[in-house]
Amino acid sequence: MATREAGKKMIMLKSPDGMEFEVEEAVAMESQTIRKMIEDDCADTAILIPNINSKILSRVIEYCNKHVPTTGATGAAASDTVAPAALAEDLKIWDAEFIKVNRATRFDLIQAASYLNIKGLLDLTSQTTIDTISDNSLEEIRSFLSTKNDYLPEEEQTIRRENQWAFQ
Amino acid sequence: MPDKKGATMLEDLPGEIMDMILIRLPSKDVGRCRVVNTSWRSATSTPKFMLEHHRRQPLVPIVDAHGRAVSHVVFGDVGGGTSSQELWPLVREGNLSFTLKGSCDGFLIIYHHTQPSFFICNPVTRKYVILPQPQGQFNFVIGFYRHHPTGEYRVLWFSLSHDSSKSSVYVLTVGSDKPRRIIVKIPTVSSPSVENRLMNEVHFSSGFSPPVHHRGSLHWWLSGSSDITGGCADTIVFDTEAESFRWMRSPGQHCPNSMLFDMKGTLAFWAGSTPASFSTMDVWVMQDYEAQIWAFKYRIELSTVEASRQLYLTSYKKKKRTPIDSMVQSFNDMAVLNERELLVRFNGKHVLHCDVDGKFLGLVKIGKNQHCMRLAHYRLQESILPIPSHEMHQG
Repeated sequence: MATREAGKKMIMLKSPDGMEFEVEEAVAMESQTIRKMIEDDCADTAILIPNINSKILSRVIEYCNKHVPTTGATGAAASDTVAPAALAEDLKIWDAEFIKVNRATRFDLIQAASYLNIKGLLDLTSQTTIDTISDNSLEEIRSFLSTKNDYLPEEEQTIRRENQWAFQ
Repeated sequence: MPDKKGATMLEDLPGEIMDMILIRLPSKDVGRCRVVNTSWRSATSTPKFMLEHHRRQPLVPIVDAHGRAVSHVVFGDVGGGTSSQELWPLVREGNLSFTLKGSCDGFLIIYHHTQPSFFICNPVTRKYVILPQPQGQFNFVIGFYRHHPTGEYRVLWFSLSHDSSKSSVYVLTVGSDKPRRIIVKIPTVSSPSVENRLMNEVHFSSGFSPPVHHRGSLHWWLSGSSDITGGCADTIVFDTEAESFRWMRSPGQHCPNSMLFDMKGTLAFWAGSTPASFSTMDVWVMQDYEAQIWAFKYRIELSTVEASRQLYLTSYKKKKRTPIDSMVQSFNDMAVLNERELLVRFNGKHVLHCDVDGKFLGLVKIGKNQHCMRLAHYRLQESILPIPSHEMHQG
């Protein structure tokens, strides 16, 4: 969690289950939804985040803390001596660890990222499902993602022919 | 790897989440998903979905590989590196009977030499449609653009006839049957024969690099137009809404090794600043379009790139074999990969990948090898949208 520093504006985020999180405004503004609230002056001292429980919200804040652009002396990852490429590599490894969660949590994170409009988190959380679709056959996709084939056999053949380009 | 034991089913998710995943899929996977089930098919088949999917794809340069291994490839940014992918359909027949004549969004215009006809094609969905041509003896595609007010794709033709009074410029709306002749009045152009000469220059310029579409107008930089314009302007502009021509000025570096290009929605210009040795590359951007004020952006020095290349080789010595003739001796041409990175053609044959500070990032290879290649100056932004037309062919 971020600590209060001189000159840093802090913002309180509240989850529906009553937890409160104090975060730097810059961190909260990683969320385009919150950014808009702040810029439109709709945010007073605390912002209630509906539909996102404290467990998920704390993980989202963890993500934003890590991904907020560093401007020098803030945050553990920031260092003027580290090359941008190394920093990006470090962030990639961190992301890979961050996303090692079960499916239910991942889907909750997708929903949270979508509501809060955090592009990086949305890309990261949806990538596992995208990989499942890219790496597997149609039958495997249906099985892994628990979705049913509701085409008649001849219908499926027609649709396959229409989209032949995708199988070449 | 997918979690086979996971209890949460994707169907438990609100449809909006599935939509968010589908929109992020590569084009081919969208096509495959249509066969998975009916709801995925309908979700991915709406014009809104296909437009949004297209909007998310990167704009990537096309490289002409001269038929060595493949004909044309598109280059993309994959995990910080550059990767190439063969471009359909220019190589399918195993010969070089196609020439690329235009690109706009996800569509290409190709000329088939043996037929001989012009086609518009979507290289992703492998669909193509023949383009109706004007009546003249020789027809040239000089522009291919999206007409912003209507969203129509349009082809600008120059049609040349032996009788110069019959030569003219035509506009074809893709999906319609007939090109429409437009009467052009070009400032400084007094007679049909001068107009023909000028349009020939435009055609010649388009062959080297396509016009840049900016603010609803197409821009061609003409190297040999000074006797027509009286010497002050060198860039001809076609307003796609008013359908009229006018002149403007480039940054004024008259080097034959120059080109207008689009840099993230801004009109930009590059020139080899020393024509004899091609040892530097200067880039300008348009700062004030109305006032035609250009601002110098950056310069890339040959010596910087070569020094950076040697440093690069030292750090990768064990892994890579150095091609003998890859010492960077001259710059010939460039294409923008993204805000920070460029593809540069050097020594008249090879292409390297570097950033705008001149840092060498690698040699461009097709497959495993470093072939001779040429930057085609066309760019593709993948799309799964159908070609606006009644008749459709599949490849």
